[in-house]
Amino acid sequence: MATASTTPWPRLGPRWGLFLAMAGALCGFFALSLGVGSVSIPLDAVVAILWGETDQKPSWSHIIYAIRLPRALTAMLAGAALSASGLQMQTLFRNPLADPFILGISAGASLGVALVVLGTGVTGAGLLVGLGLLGQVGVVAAAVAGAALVLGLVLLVGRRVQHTMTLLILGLMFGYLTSAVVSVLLYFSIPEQVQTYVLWTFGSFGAVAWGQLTFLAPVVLVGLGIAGLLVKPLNALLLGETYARSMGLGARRARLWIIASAALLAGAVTAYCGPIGFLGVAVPHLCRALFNTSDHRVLLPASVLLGGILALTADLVARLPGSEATLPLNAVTALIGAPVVTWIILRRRTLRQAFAA
Amino acid sequence: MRKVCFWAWLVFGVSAANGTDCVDSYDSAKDYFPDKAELQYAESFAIEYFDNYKLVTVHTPWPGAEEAVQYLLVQRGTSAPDGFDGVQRITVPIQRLAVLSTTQLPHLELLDALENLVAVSDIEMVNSPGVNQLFAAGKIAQIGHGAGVNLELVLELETDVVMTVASPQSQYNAHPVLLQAGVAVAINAEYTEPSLLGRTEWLKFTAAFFNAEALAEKRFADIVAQYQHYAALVQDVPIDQRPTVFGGSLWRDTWHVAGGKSYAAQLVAAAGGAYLWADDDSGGSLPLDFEAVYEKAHAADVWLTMRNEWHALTEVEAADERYAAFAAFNSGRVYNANARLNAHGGNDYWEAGLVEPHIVLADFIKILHPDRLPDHALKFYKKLD
Repeated sequence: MATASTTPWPRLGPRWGLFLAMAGALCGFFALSLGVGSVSIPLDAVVAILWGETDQKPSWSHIIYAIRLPRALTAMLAGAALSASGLQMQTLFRNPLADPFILGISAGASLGVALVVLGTGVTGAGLLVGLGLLGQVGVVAAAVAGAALVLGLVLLVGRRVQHTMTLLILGLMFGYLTSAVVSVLLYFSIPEQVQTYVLWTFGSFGAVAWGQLTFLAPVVLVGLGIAGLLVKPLNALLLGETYARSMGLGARRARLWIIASAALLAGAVTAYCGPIGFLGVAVPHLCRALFNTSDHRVLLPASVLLGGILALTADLVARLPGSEATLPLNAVTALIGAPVVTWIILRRRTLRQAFAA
Repeated sequence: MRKVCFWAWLVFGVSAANGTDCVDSYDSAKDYFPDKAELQYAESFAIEYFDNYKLVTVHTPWPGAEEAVQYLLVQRGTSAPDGFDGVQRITVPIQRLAVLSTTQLPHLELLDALENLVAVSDIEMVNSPGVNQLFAAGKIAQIGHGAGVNLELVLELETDVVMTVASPQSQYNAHPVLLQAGVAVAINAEYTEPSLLGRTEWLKFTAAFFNAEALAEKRFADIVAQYQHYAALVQDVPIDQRPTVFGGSLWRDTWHVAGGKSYAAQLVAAAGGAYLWADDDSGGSLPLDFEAVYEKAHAADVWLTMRNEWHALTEVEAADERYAAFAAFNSGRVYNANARLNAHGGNDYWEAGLVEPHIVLADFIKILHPDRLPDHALKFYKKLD
């Protein structure tokens, strides 16, 4: 920590070239997302439809506007949100393995979904039976409720506890608790219910239509906005809470805002897309390696861009262009992501640099 | 041979006094099963008859199963044959049956064997008034689902057979748990049957355990006759007048469409409709994404779906606004197979519907060609408004 105070991040200037390349890649993948799908629509027709020409096949324009566009936007937002959230959590806990769900957000959402989907088989009568018939709307509502409940608990506890590690352990314990309840519910459920639950855990970007996007997008943008205001406290926290406090930062208040922003981002995405793994852990690491820095003024926008790119890529692969079938998204994010991250981490020893304590 | 009957009474706890179930004197040359089941449509099971025992073979106890399972059904009071190592032996006619799936309940009603039912999985999923009455009278227990089956209760009930369904995901199955505890199990695999009438013919599988083949043959012949009667009504519909039909709905972002050889596809074809995925050759379902289904089905005439929670078109639209872009949605030709739900969401389509393929077919005809069947009122399907 002594060396850190002199030159914590030697190369501060953001690398505009890399940023431009990433922004270009994001636009490219976004366009690709609109152009590629299980129904093959010729490129010139896609362009014409996006240009607003109405003489194209009506089913094609519906496919692009009502199916591919919201899906691509959702993927971009979700990737950005999870990556930014993961970055904040890794810094807050000074733990390279932290992800957006470390505080138990996805565990809470899973519990909500499990109660609604699986509850009918167990509880016999009462409230949950009615909920069980709600289907997709009910699943989203339950995930929102579960994630919000955990978020509230974490914030409440976060105001009281002294050490960030206490929060980490509480999050872990909450995760164990919920997975125990979920497995009890699974055990007593019939295969159809189990399947509905498992489908949710696979994650997907395609279940979000415009109506839901009008809620998801503002929440994610607000979350990212808060994260943007927090880059300085994040940089200070990287050097340890004690250091941050000695610099006169309202460490506890900053921590609270970081948690709020990360939980909001992760919670909203999990509710609508399911617990999407991997991106939140991997993207911050990739950005540290690419930009060779641990400065959050660089890492945050980089994570947002790269998160969007990777989410779009994973979604493209999951849709298996050219075939009518789809793959589970969570399998794809890890399948294509894990080797890449492994390679980068092994090549550049940025981990030690970023988390040197 | 009082002795044999007394032994049966001891072991099975049933009265042998009425004499009909119990063979008083075992004659090894006699054919104890004069009424034999003859399978017309079913392919996934077989019954072989011998003098005093029958060998029931279930070829595919679950989809993708590598080995068949066999049941040796031995007439009560007769001596069991030698051999058949590792094959479950069950003394028939059975007296006390537990069923783990609602799909098996209508067999008992058709075979007049409801009084032999001692347990179901979960009474809340049951639609049958007869079964509900027996439950209200305290004659039926609830023993839970799949691997979570209440073993102690099953043992206490002293069932002769527990009829179950097996899935390829072995961790959810009840039969390993039950077999390990020494409970006799019969895997009913009617859902692996390729043809719709074949699935209904599994009535004869259940009948074999009750020596009720004669009744099963009669009931099944009635069902087939009615099915063929309805099918004949629309046989002459020309190809270009067959409404186009699609099915299924989104689960998350995957739309499971019934394959071209599925029961749904067979019903659409028999009812004079043109199923959009008729060229496909799978019997299960195809996981597609929204745009694949939309591209093919956006202009289709009729949408047949099955979502317990949808009772009106507004609810369909609330689930996903993109459903409203289908022509069938806008012309109001959306039909949902949830007309007969009990208070807890148990769907009679998965109960009575299994032995009423003729009525399901009549529903389809009413939906696709209402003029051909003016007097039929939809039973399992309802129109969403």
